[in-house]
Amino acid sequence: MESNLVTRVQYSGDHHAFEQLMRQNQSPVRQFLRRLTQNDHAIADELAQETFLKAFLQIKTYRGEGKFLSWLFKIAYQLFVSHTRKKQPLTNVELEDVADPSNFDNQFDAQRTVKSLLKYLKSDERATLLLHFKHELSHQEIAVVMGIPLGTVKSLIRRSRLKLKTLTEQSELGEAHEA
Amino acid sequence: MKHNFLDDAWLKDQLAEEHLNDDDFSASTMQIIDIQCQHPPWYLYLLSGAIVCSLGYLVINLLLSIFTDVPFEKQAMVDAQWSNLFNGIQFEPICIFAVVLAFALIWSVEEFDLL
Repeated sequence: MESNLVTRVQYSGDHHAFEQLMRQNQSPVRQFLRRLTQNDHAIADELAQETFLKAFLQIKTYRGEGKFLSWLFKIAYQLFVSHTRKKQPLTNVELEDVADPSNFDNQFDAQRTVKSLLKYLKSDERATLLLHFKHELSHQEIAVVMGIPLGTVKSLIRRSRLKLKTLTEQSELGEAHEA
Repeated sequence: MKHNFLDDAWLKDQLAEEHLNDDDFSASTMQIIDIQCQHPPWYLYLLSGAIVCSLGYLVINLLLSIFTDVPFEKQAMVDAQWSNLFNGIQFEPICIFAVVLAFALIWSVEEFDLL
């Protein structure tokens, strides 16, 4: 049971118990960070390691309110935001004008799946979409993870769905013209 | 590509991914955690603090005395200081500074993994 493992880590700093917790939760955390960092595996795994390190050091602050994985997502997202703030602005594809669908140039990735379209969303839009539809967090849990109001979560999900829809429609329109 | 962004189930299916193998991730992360959790033994803090405090109390006062114009006897100065130490510690500002320096030294050892 995950709660037993957490208790062992909190009360006795049991490294073995924490390693088991990590093995159970490393996949969703790493996948989440890979999508946030637009498939930069190296940076995503580095952030994931920092996430688990921070989780171990601050394990006593986890009071069992909500799932342990949600708490890990919260740490991971905070680390991602800090990391993004340190990055050079020109290397960040989440600038306002790039994320704006009206500037979309119809040059799609070959695969053209929803996952490949995620890079055209802003990081907060991407995060809410992934947390809700991929990792099945409720709106309230996402609000806690990202530290934003519940209404903003709903708004971001709605906006990101609309943006993806617009992107695919523009692409199909472009294809029709080319044909 | 057929898409239905209003369909939660469809969107969830589109975003599904395969489980990531742990490979070396957990093992390497635990190594980092183990290193972070290593602390110097407690007596090292005590010893370092005692050494720096006593040296500070003796040496700094002595140096200040050496560079003043008042004539003095070195041995008498040291004896007087030891005597004062056991008659009731009187912390002059410079000695308080030595105590602060001691804690800064201990903090540095831990923060920068000097040992």
